[in-house]
Amino acid sequence: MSHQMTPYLLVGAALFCVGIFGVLTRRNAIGVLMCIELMLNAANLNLIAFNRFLGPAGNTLTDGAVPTNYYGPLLGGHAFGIIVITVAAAEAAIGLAIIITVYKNAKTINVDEINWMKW
Amino acid sequence: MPPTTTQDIIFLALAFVTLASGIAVVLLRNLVHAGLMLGLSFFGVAGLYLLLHAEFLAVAQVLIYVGAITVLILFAIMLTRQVVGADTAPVSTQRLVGFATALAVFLVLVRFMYRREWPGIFDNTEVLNAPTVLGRQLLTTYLIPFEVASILLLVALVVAIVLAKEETVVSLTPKLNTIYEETDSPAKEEEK
Amino acid sequence: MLENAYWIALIPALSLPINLARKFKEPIPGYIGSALVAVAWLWSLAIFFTTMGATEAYRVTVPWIPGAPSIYIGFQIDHLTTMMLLVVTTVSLMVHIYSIGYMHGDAQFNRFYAFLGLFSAAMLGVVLADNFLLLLICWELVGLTSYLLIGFWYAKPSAMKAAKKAFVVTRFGDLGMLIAAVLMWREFGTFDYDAIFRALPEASVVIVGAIAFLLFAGAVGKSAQFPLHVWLPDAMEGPTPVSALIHAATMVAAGVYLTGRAFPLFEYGSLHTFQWGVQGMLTIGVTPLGLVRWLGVSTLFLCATIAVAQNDIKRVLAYSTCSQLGYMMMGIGLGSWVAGLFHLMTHAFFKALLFLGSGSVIHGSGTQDMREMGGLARKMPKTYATYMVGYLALIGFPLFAGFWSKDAILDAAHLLVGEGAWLYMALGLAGAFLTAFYMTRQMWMVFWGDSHRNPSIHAHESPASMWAPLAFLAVPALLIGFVGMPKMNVIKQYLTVDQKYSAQTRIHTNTVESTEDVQRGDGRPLYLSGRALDAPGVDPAIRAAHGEEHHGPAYLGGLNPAVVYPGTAVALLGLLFGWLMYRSATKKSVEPAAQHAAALGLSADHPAHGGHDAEPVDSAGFWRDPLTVLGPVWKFLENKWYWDEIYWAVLVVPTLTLARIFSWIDKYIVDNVVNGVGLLGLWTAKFAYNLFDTYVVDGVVNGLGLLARKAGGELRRMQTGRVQNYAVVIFLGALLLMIASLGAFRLPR
Repeated sequence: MSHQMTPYLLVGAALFCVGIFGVLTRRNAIGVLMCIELMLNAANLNLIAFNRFLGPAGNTLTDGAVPTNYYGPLLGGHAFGIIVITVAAAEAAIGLAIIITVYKNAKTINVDEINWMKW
Repeated sequence: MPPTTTQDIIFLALAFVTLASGIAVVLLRNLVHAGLMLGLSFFGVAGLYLLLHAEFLAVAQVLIYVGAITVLILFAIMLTRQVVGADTAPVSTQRLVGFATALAVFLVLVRFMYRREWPGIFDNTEVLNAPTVLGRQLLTTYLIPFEVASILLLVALVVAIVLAKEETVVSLTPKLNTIYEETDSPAKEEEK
Repeated sequence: MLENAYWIALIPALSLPINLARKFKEPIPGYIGSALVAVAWLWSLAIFFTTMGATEAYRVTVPWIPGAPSIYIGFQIDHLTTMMLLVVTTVSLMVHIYSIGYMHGDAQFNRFYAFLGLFSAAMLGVVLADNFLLLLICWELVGLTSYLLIGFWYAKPSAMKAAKKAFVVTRFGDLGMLIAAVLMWREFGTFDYDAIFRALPEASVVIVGAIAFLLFAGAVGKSAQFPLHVWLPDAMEGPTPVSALIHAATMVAAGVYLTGRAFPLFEYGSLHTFQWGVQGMLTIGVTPLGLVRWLGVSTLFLCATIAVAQNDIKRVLAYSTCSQLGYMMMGIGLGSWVAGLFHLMTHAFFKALLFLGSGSVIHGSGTQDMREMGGLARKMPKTYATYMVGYLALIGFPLFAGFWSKDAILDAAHLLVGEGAWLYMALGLAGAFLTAFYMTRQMWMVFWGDSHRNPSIHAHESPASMWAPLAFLAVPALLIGFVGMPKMNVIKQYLTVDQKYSAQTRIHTNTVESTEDVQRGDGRPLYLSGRALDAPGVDPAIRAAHGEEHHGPAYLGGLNPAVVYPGTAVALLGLLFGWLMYRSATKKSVEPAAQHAAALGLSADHPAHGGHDAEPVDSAGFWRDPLTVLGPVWKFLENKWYWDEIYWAVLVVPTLTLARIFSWIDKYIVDNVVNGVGLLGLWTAKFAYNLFDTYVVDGVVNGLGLLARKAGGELRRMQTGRVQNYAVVIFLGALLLMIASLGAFRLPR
């Protein structure tokens, strides 16, 4: 068969779920952050796959024709993917800054110990 | 469907690498190892991007994710010297719950995947000058997300600097300082 | 002048607001009241002269209460009304003038004249009314003012008792009138005299008879006929002018007037005899007219006998009034309503004269008890002279007023045929005898005989304001009778000419063209036309009324010898008996009387100038009435045949007992029940509070609070403070949202 989209989606889904497992399981805060990055990657993969295989699908403005702008077929998935990478970077930066601050204050980054919001 | 073409084999390999390193990230106790595995996973994803004809994105992925984020994470690990942290016990409620949740989400996603006919699947031929097209489209059709992203980066930059500074109380305005002083003791006011 | 004739009744009524709004100084209310009544009197005179020749009644009616059918009020001027107007206004005017002198010194002078004016207005309203409803309204008003005037000296307990008695007793009668009004409405749908009389031929005889009986009940009460006569003697507690106006001349005459006015109803109702009594054993047949004359003759005789034994000057006159009213009623009941009303007119004048004269006597001698009087003829000449005129008129002395009117009634009695018809004549004659007898007795005790009092008492003549009305009234007492001379019976012609509906109009079918729709050729009223008056069940009085009139020889105006000879003889016999008996009786025991008086400490000063009548003094010892030889009969008569005692025992005592029983029930049973219910409520509340409120209600409320706390306590454990726990929840929530919004569980297409 020709190139299929489904495998890519599967990989994305699996990576996403691995990320969920890691977020819920890892003790270290930075470990949690790493797993969040995994999840973001998985989502990004989905986006690119959709852009590759579906193209204008779902775009009701055109009737089956490939939507383009002046410069060529719309690469919305790619654009969104870049944005996601940007967001991930920013979020990683800030998140790590926060973790460092927390480490300076609490001397620990074990998420189980950071429970000052407990009842 | 058994893999028949080279593309399929390459895909399988890349997928395996990605997933395996991902699982390693989750399970490894040593944070540095986990971080390195994370980098590997990013590489795998970049490879998949290449398979999907998203060359620019693959390069951007490598540059940013591997080059910046992974390094950043490793720096942070080193700054917070709990490399060998007491991790969870082999089996705990947390792990079970996590596993169950992840499994549930996976199942739902998979079910959804096979649920319907994806409308308008077509074989996209190569897009010539994809980076050029992407760049131009970023500044026309997708302008707003682009600008928002830039503002986001600016904000992140500022926040990161602020957060990483020393713990001294920063008086943003002189007036705030005097207020503090006033509330402290009326005697000091007389001195002034 | 005729159109506004209703003002004749309203003008005296102005005395009420004028005299009550501001208390004028003493003689002024008298002048005001007299002036107002004088206006009414002059107006009545004017009406009399202008309507003398009229053959139709003048009527003004306006709708009052709209409906289907509507109720009208209005007034009428016909000859009967005119005669009554003259009587009432004349006597009222005389009383008003008289009272200026009599009530001199009374602290409530203005109030007296206010009530007097109101009474005059009410009585004139009764007379002017053209329908039974207005008559009833003014009737009640008359009763009210009678109560107010009898109880004028309200501080005197005996006066208030008398006033209450008068009101309550007449109430019995008024109840009958009210029912009669209701029946009238149901049967005729109107209260108008004219409309009712015109509708009589189609009405039910039984119902009309019932109406007549009930109306007569009211007349019995107002005119103090037996059995409702008990209030009239007690009413003498009021001031003498009141007695003169109300209880001699006018109010008591209202009953007679009503009976005369409603005579067609009586006549028509008497076409059927009502059987009354126990079935199979004793039944009495009664017709309305039969009842009227039966009660009339009973009252006549009863009151005449009682008058013989009274010692209070006013009481004698009161019983005499009762008796004469009985005469009037008897006259009407015998079918001759003209005779009854003629006697009413003459009686009004001479009885008012006698009462006012007695007032003058009381004022001059300071006592009401005849046993203390005597020889006043010389001391009070003007009073004596006028009183003499009244006396002669009352006893029926030939040619005086009473002679003619009494003769007319006896004439009617003579015409009656049937079982027991002789009784009326006999008792009428007996009454005449007794009247002459007790009046002569009174004359001897008061005027002719020697004085029994302490001779140092000064009896003086009354002032001019008092004897002038007496003189004025003496004129009609003397002369008015002549209008009733039988052969050219002026009064009869006068009264009947415009009464289209009643008896005794036969005489006019030859002379005056009667209205065709009322009269037939036989001259009887329409409702009697075609009926056989000889049939059984028809009252013989009707036959008598429409029978032939017997006129005797031309002398003395054509009197019937069969009537006038016995009548006059009987009266003269009574006079003779009284003369002989009391001439000697009043001559005796002058000295012992004076000694006895001195011994009893009878005071010389009398409160005559204070306006209060002297208390009658127990005269045990120095006066012995010659009739005391009759022993228990005398006692029986003196105590008024014990009627008051009978009524007390039969009516009053059971009522009071019943009232006491109910009071006991109310106090002990009802109140305890009420208290018990209250206690029950209290106990229930206590129970509710202690058991229910404390445990159940509070338990629920407290439980809810406890629940909230416990729940909160457990639920807060959700906040572990650990991010990963929250993350689980987030993911699961997102999962659910995915499932729900994307329909993950729908079947693939």
